[in-house]
Amino acid sequence: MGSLELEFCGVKFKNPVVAASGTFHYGREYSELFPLALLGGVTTKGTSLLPRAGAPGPRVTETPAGMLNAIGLENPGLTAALPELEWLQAQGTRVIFNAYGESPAEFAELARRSQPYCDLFELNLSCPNVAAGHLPFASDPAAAAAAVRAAKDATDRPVIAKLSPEGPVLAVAQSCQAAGADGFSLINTLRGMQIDSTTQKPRLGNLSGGLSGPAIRPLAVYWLYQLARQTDLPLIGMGGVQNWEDGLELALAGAHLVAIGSASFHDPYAAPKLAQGLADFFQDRPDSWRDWVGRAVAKSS
Amino acid sequence: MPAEHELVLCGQEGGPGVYRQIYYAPTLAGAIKPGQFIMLQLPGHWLRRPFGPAPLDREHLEIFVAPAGAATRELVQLPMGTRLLALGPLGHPYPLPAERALLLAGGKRAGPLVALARLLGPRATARYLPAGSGEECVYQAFQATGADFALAGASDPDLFDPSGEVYILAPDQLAMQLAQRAFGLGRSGYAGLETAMACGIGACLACSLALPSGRVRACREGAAFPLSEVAKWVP
Repeated sequence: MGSLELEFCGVKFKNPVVAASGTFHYGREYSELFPLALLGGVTTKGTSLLPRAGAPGPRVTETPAGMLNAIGLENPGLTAALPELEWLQAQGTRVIFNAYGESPAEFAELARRSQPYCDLFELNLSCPNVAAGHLPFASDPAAAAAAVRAAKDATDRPVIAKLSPEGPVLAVAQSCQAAGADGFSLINTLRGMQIDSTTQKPRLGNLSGGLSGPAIRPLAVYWLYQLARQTDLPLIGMGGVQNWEDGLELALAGAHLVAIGSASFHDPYAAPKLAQGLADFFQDRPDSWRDWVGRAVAKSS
Repeated sequence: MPAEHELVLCGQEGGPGVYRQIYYAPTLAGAIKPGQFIMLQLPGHWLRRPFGPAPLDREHLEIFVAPAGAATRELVQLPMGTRLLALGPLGHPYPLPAERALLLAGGKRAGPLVALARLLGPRATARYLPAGSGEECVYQAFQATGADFALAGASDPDLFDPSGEVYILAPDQLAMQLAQRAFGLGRSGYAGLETAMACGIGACLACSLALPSGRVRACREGAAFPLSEVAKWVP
């Protein structure tokens, strides 16, 4: 039987399925539907040092083959989140702490204080960089590298840089790798907008928001493939994954772990179904998930 | 605890303003209490939609659908026998009144208050504030509950004459206006607020609201909140 177990940055995962940040809070609500131990890991809600109130409503709207969201990074702040992380650690799944910082110093403090409560530290490079006029770290390879370096210096946990498909993806990844990043996650959502023809106003209170869902899966596959050609660091793939076939597609493009995001809203059991679907697929096969990772990627020479 | 349930569409009437749909839902109908809701998965749509069902018996429930966007327009076109998935029951049931209740349903909203009226029977006074035409199936549903039922207008001076705790279900502006009047009259009770939802269980924070006493998730801490909170809410 082909195994789903794998090591990611030296951390053992029972299977490659993780919940994506922002769709799963700190796991407690979904734990009422299924044991979180069915998942390889859970990525927490993006968490900042201080509480954030978030964006005005409406915060979500449906799109063809997906959705837009503008939650505005509402979160309780790190101090209030730590007990939630501690609870999540006891659920038998890996904890990936997603950090929202607005400066390298903030990322450093988030990394230092979250270290005892997580297995991996995921740095959201789509955060606005206060020192650069609130442009996202992901738009500037040097700024992204500074954030990664600050986090690396502050924690012993592997540091994962979450990339935006709107930045110069490969240049940002290259500079993050040089700064010591241990892996990457991609893709974050893409900015989009919808206007209601009845009210003649934008459908989101924040005017625009992040596009997710099946519509963006081909972009996830493309950027995973491109990045897998460039780096040997392990990748967490995400973007429109809905079922085990989607998971396999991302693996072929180079994803070691696959994250379920807004598919959990379409089907709250999507994540455990993905894990079960992969287990069934590899049940009678001589190869394993690890053999599929990057199999379709033609390495650049 | 919430779980995934299969619903089979087995009846529909009314329209075009509001349709009453009946579903065979043997695993869910007996578990839903007035005030709770479900997240209904609709064919071809990425996001589920919240509906507040009213159980008819232990095997059937009804929902009221006001066609507004593509999803609800398609929902009322589904053929009989269509199977849908729904997560539920979600949210908190209405706290029940000590004695009597005054139920105010407006703007095509009905399900949870029909459920409450059915539970309370003659202890309930139900008033429906129509939003347009083609909503007769809502009146008929209220009439069949045994509650004292009549149509009403939001500014009727005698709207709050009937005694009892007040339960309000209406679009936000109307809900706030009614909650403010009720609160000003010293009445207690509950009002629901409408926000777009994605997960329905409190994980996505799409329906997070800043009420006077603090931040809440409409899906998890609600769906209804004390009148005092809604009356003073600043959207």
